[in-house]
Amino acid sequence: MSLPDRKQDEVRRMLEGPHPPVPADLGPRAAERGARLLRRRVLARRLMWLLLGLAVVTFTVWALVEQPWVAPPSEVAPPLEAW
Amino acid sequence: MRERQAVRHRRRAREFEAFVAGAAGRLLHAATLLTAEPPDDNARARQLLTAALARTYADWERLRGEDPYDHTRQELAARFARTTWRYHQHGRLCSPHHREPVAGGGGGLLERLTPQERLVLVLRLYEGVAEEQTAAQLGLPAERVRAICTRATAAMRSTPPAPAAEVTAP
Repeated sequence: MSLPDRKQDEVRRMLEGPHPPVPADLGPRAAERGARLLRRRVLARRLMWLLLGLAVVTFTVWALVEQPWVAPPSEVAPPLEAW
Repeated sequence: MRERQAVRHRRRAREFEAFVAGAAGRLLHAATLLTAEPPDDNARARQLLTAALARTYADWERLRGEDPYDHTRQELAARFARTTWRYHQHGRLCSPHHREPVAGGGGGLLERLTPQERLVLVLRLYEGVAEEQTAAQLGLPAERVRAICTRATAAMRSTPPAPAAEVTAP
């Protein structure tokens, strides 16, 4: 074993000291907070889909009403000839 | 649909509870080493771990084979780095060689080290994360991680804490 390895092993042993006691409510509190996070995520996703749907509907209605693909009738009258 | 969701929810809660029962002790120790708080007064470490575990709970279905322990550790390290960066900006931890306890710390094993040194030491030596992985996670070059690790190891050995007084230089 090389020297740096031995030094690191020494520190490793220091780090493996006594573990602090885990409070009993740590897990449940984390789960509760995680569930809240999840609910918020689901809500945000739903809102996004709703907005997307609304945008599609709005665009479709506008397109059907305006029919932008139809060329507008010419506003310039043809010249009068042979009258 | 609602029925299936409830079943899934219950299963997730059960699996998560089993995971926490097995892993919380080790993770809390790691968090307490990071924050350099004494083991019996580790409010910040508990807060960090609760937040990291909450993320793991929320991501549980998306883990798909990824180890929840790794996921939580990564989240823990990232959170610690982020909150410490906030301290940095307030100018509290600017000097790379400050040897003072941080924000109410005192009695923590690693309190002589800087937050970055603690992070590297805990990930590399306590958790045994590979050098490249640690570097990627912290956004540092691998050589820099090795240098920090060596420096932190030397600092820890030069001034051993009272309980480990039997560890003396050869």
